[in-house]
Amino acid sequence: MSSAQPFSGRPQDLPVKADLARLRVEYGKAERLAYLGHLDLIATVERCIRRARLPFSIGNGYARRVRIQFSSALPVGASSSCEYFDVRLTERVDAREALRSLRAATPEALAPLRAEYVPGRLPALEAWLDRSSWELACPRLAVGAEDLEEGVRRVRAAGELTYLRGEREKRVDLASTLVGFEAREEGGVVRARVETRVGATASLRPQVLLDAALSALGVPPATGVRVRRTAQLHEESGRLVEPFGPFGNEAPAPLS
Amino acid sequence: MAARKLTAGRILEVLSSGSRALAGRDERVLVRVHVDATCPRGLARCVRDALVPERGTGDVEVLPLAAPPVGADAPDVALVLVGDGPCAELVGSYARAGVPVAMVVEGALDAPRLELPEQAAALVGTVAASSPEALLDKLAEWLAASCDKDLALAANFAFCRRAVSDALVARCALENAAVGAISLIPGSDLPVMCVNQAKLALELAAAHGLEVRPERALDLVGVVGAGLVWRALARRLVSLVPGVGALLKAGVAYGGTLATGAAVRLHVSADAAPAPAAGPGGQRAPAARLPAPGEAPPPPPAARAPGVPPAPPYCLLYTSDAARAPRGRGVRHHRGRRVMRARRECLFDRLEPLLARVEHPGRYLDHEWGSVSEQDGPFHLCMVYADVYEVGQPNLGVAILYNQVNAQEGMSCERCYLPWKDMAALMREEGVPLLSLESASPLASFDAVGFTLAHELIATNVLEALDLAGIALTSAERDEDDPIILAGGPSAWNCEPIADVFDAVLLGDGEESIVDACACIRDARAEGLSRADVLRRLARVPGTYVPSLYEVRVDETSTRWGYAAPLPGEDVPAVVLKRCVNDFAATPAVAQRIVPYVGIVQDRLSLEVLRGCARGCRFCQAGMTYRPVRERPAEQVVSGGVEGLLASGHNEISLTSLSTTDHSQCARILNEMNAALEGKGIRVSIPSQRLDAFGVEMAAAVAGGKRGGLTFAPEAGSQRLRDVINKNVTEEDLERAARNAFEGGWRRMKLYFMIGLPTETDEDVVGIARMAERVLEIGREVVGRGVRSGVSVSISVAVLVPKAYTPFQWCGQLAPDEVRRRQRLLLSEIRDRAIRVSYHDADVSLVEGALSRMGRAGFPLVRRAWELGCTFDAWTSEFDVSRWERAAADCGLDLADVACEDFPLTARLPWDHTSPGVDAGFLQREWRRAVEGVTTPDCTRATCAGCGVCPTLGVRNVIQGVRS
Repeated sequence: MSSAQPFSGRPQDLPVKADLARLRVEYGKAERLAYLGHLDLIATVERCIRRARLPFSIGNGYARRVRIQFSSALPVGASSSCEYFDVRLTERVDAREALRSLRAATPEALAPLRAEYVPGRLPALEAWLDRSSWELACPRLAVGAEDLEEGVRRVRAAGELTYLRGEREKRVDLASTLVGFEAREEGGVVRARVETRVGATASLRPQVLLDAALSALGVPPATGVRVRRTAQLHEESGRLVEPFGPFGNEAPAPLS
Repeated sequence: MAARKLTAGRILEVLSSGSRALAGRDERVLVRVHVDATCPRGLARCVRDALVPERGTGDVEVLPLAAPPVGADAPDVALVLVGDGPCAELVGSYARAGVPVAMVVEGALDAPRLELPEQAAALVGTVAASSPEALLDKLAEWLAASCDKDLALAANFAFCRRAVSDALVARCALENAAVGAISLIPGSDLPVMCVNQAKLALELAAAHGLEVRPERALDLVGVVGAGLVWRALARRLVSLVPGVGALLKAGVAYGGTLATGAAVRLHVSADAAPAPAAGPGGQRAPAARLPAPGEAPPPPPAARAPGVPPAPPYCLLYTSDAARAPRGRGVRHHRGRRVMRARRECLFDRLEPLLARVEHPGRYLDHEWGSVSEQDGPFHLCMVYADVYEVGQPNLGVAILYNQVNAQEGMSCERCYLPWKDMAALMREEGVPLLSLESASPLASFDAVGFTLAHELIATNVLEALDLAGIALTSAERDEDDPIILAGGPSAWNCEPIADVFDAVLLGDGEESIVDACACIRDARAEGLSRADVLRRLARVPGTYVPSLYEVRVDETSTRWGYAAPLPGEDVPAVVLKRCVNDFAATPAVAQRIVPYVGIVQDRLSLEVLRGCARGCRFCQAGMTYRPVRERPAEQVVSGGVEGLLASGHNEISLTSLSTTDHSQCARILNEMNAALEGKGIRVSIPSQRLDAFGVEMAAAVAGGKRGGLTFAPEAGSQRLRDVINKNVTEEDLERAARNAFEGGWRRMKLYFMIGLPTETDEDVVGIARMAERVLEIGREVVGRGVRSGVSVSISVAVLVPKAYTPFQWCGQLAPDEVRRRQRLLLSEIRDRAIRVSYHDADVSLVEGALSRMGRAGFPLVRRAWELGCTFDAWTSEFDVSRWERAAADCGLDLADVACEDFPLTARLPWDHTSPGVDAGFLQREWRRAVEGVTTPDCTRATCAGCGVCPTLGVRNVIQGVRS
């Protein structure tokens, strides 16, 4: 462990967060843990980092939290093969070593897949990753693939989608959030691919889109649908940037 | 399993033989009995009693000897009870007409000579027996051999069943032997033989008059599957002894089938036996049985002879429609007697679709970091904490037993927590039983299930868990093969109100006794002992209390709840003493290895530094029952703590015990631990500190992080009352502790008090307010007077619940009206707004008090409360006193009456037979000292107080350093 905390010196001598090593880790969330909520996931990942004995950096605030940022929350019930978190380390350990110790300290269902250092001054992860790809598997759908696409077209024509989340009503603007939708049938199971973009207001959840499309067709909602996120990307001026780079020369972003 | 290897053709065979068996059973069978007036009376009576048809399809005609011979409706079988009269003609006429006829005589020489052609002669039999029992056996054998309608006969007449079954088994065995001999390709004979055995099973079921359904055959494949062992044996023998293979296999097949057939018959005949009388308070409503698709509805039981009980319905555990029907509370669904225990299989795919529909689904996830995923057994135990995951997971008792049992060769342990109400309702609707976490197997499939009795109010949750699992609620109602239900924990000292639920209660430290109990159950089951005998064996394990071997007696020496004494003839101790692990340092430091995914109530690593407390506070049951005091060495604490934190990834460690600051090396532990965890952002916390031990160093050492509120428990408002309860803290101690705390940076103080203490007066209640004001004053002195100083004091007041094995066990609780008056008095005395007063719900205390004082006769109250919907009573949001009051009224009890009753000092108490080793005389002495206001010193600091634990149990205090 390097500099002891709390820091005993002048505030202006504190290490700047942006200069600390920033390790980006890609991990998956298996189906078995699909129902683990995001808050619990955060606590779990923090504990994994402690177990892996990575030299993580602790914030200077009252709560003394580990300096870690997550990608946007998955809806409860969805699994994923591409979730990310950025953790600030006080020492620059070898990325491969870090990945190995993380894998040894994490339950299989959340196993890390890839770990690399990224530039320290990139924008915050959650805001930076604005495009997601999803795969839905609907085993017992009352309609076929073409009808489903037709349903989605109708919903998109309406422009806006409202749904109830708990007690509150949420409005999603489809023009900005829904990028693409295609469905195909495979052995009795309808598989759909959805591309979404983070909008200014609420984000689009694939399950919600599916329910809206089915109700537009006049069909009861589907059961047993499996949702899986398959990719997260950053979009800028028409290009898609992978989470691990290569990173172009962007306008300097506020410190994250 | 053989079932899955069956092809479609085979399955059809089974199904068709099933329906053939059904048809065979339901055929009409007519038995004609000719009685000679001079035949032996005994035999006649015996035959008459035996030939009473149990189903509507059997008919018996009794005629005198001189009746006209065979008419238009020929009987299926005829019996002639031979006397002195001539019967040769009659017998001959039947034989020539093709009706099997038997002559029942006392001695073989009594039978008349017959001249008949060979074919007819084959149909005539002589049943000679001098005694009724022998007669029935021989008659049955003859009937089974001669009559075509053997299934119908067996279904109607109980005495034929064994013989018919034997014949079926033998026939099947011969077939199997033939099959075994013919095919020499290893493995190919398996499906055929198992199908044969499945058919056999169906025929046996039909023979016993039971419903024959194809699912039943598959269900009995479990027994049939045992037959696979025989085949495996045969195969191995073939490979070893070439040439003799075919004969050997055939022989094994024959023997195997006989054994399997015998096993199946035993199961099936147990099913057909008359149902036992209903248990106390139990309602036996047989589950509604709907006919399987394609099957005709069962014939209504018309024309049944009086005195013959109807066969009880058979319910397949999780596929019967009865299990799926939504059940309201109060309508207790009673499952019919099962033949076998539930199957051990992973049912997670039945639980998964429900996760999307409940609150906080993360609490039902398994495979946490540190959980043991290899659950090979073969002995399987499941530990249940009857509350939701977040509350139950941190429990150290469950963690300790989990590790102990999993570490044993041949045993494995899983965990189970109660689902929340929304999930429980869904599970009932969908017919999903309560499942364990690690393997998602039904709770009812385990060999043993252990409940932690963490506090009194968990009782209704225990019933809820058993009901969700499909296990009968009381020990008396359980089947031979049901899991053994164990219990243990801090609240086992008066477990009488729920003693009827448990097969055995483990008293005291569970580390060793759980392993002993599991080994005992495993060995007893392997020997094939009956359930009652397994429990008798369990009672021999030291520290185990088996309630069913004790009876409750009420007489003039006891209270109205009586006392428990061993049943006459049972070899069990009059008083069961607890188990005590004296070498505490030998137990692992960190018991809690599992790191949950979800946020739980106490999200930190717990390390037990000390067990037992000898301070002797007179209201405290834990202090009396966890003696002697055993400390963990400081090195073990520090190294274990650091290692545990690194392995788990928690950022907080809590040094738990009854009073951690009493540990003789406490300061050293804190310092070393803080040094070892420097700079890692990890907090060390101590759950509660004693006022007199909270010095300046302690305040600094426990700092380490966030400064929230600090809690002390003076318990009583005046020194006199504190002496009565033997809480040896003074005003100066409190003031010093408060000053140290405020100076150390704390701003919020929380003080715990109790009202309803014996000899309490209004002055004492007012003293509480004065103490709070004094602490606030000190805080303002040290920190500042303004509102923004943040200094606040909150007091929490609870009602004393007198518990078993404390010197206050004879006191009744304070009456509810008096409680309310004193609460109002206290409120009126608090004048400063910075002091907040909160009350522990007095109704909850009333129910706790009632549960602490009742004997076994209190079980109907607990059961009724559960039926009315009381679950999760420890949750303030769920507790409903009106339901408890209604339950009490239904049982003819009054909660206040039960809880507030005083017991005479000399009375025998309902809990005297389960003892932590504390001497009754000591408790009485302590009570008298309490009344006089005399304190008793701590035996770890002064001389022995004579509680009796050390000599009775053969243990002693283990103190690492020197206690100041």
